[in-house]
Amino acid sequence: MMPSIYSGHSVAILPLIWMSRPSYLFTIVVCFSSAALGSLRVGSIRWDAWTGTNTTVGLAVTNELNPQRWHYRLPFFGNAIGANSVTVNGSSLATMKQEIAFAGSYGIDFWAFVTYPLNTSMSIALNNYISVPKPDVKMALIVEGGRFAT
Amino acid sequence: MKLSRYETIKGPAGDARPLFILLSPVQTQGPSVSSLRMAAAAAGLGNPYVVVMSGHGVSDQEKMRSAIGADGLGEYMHLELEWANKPGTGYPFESNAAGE
Repeated sequence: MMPSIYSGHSVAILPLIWMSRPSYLFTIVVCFSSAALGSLRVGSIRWDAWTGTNTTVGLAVTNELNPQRWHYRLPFFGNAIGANSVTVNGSSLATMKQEIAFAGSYGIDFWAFVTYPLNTSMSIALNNYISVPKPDVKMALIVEGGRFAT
Repeated sequence: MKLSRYETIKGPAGDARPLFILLSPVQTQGPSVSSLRMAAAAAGLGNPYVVVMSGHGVSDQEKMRSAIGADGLGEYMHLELEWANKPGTGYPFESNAAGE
């Protein structure tokens, strides 16, 4: 656990599991929202690069899952189309709704979205999420230092 | 942060503080953190709970937290630095994981 910043209150954010390349999706975040552990909140980082192969980053994460030994890591919206070839595109609203359903059913309280300009491929999932009324999963924002004003 | 779906951290007085995570900030961003707090207050929101998160050790992160006036620390996964020079090449997961 990270040190408590002020008395009676602490927050911890810990990477626990990876479901794909760790730099891209689903590092688990754990937050203790009060001194009472009964109020544990569990979140998951979203770094939404699985948007197909039309962008550099989308191509990169697809290539990473191409080798057959990594196919078991394919998300539900991915498909193995060859021995060493996959498609991974989670850009649809239907996919987002299913992700919300999965996350909610497995006890994820919130997603922490790494932010990008809203008109870029890396924001497709966030835009889809925002368009879903009253989702079971809450949200927070992660801003990279390089994108935060100095 | 204005959205009802935005995650908050319960403050010591029971106040709801919007969770805001800064990934790998730099020490000159203290004024920006202050500006964020002022903007949140002006919008009628709770004081953001700002978390510094990086792949560095807790000691360095605590120095950063103190320098920019953040509230908490997080820890992101270790990044095997060589990977950064090989985007899109399918740099294998096990190589990065081996650096953990």
